[in-house]
Amino acid sequence: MLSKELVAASTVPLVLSVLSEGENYGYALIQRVRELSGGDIEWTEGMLYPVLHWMEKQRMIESEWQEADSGRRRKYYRLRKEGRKALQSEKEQWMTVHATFTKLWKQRPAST
Amino acid sequence: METTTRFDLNQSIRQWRDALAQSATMRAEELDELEYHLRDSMAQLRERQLTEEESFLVATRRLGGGEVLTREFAKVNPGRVWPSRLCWMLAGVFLLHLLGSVPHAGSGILWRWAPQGISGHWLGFFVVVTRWAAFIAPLAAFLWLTTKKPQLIARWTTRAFHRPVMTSISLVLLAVVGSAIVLLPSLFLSMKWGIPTSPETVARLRVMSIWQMIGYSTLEIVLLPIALVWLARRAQTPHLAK
Repeated sequence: MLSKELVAASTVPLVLSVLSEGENYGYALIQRVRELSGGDIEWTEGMLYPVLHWMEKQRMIESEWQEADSGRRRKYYRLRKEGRKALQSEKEQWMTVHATFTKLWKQRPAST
Repeated sequence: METTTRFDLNQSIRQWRDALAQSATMRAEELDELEYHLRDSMAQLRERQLTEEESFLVATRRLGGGEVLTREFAKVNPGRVWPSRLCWMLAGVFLLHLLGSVPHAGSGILWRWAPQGISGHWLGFFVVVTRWAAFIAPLAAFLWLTTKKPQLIARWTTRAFHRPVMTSISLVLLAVVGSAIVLLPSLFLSMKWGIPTSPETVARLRVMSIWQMIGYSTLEIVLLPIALVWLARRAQTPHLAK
């Protein structure tokens, strides 16, 4: 399980990454993250929406209500140009952290 | 409805939604979004053989408690809380003003027409105590209602906000009736007997006015700030480490 701080820090890049696969709505977005993380990334589901709305205000994403075949309405979110830029920057930062850890832990694998 | 149990899904969802709507930080569209999420989540849980009631409980739990949600929504939309806060502030000013004017008008009657035997000190004391009571009593009543009967308050406020026209009309009526009750007796008595100007009455008025001045300003300078600080501390405690 991720710590609270790490969940908070990774929510925006995760949302950006999932939306880079194509537009999606909140519930499916959560399912996708759960599935990819093997259930290790568990959000308090409702907390996703304030984040989505904040990202929309920052012009990273845009949203649109659509009607599903089942008749249920869903609000779909999709990436905007700003979002793609933000995703690129996030990617670089996370890869830097990842690469640093990989090197460190390769040097001394037994010292954790 | 397919279920035969007493669990009413639509009613439960409505209650859950109304509770969230209380905070005023969420718009109808955002509540819609959460509600569709809840229904999606429940549909999936139902596929795993959970009953309607169980899936409702699990799905709402996964969505997060009302307090957490409203706090997060408020963070994203900090400006949205203020209109509703301002509304409550004005309601408070209105109520305190209305209640405070009763002892004020009462004092106007007392100094003129109270029996001569009662001194200005007694009159002043009485008026000040009533004025203080008109401040403390509604505050205490409101505090008691909000802590002991939160559902009742929730029901009233929902009803008041759902019918803005009715609410406005009732408020204006309340103000008119209140002012009439406060002003008419004094007006009636002055018209009937005129304003007494005997030296005793004027002397009594002077003593009573000093009481009033001290009593009223103590209320505004001492009691009001104390009440404010006390309420602010109370409002904070649940979030402090415990």
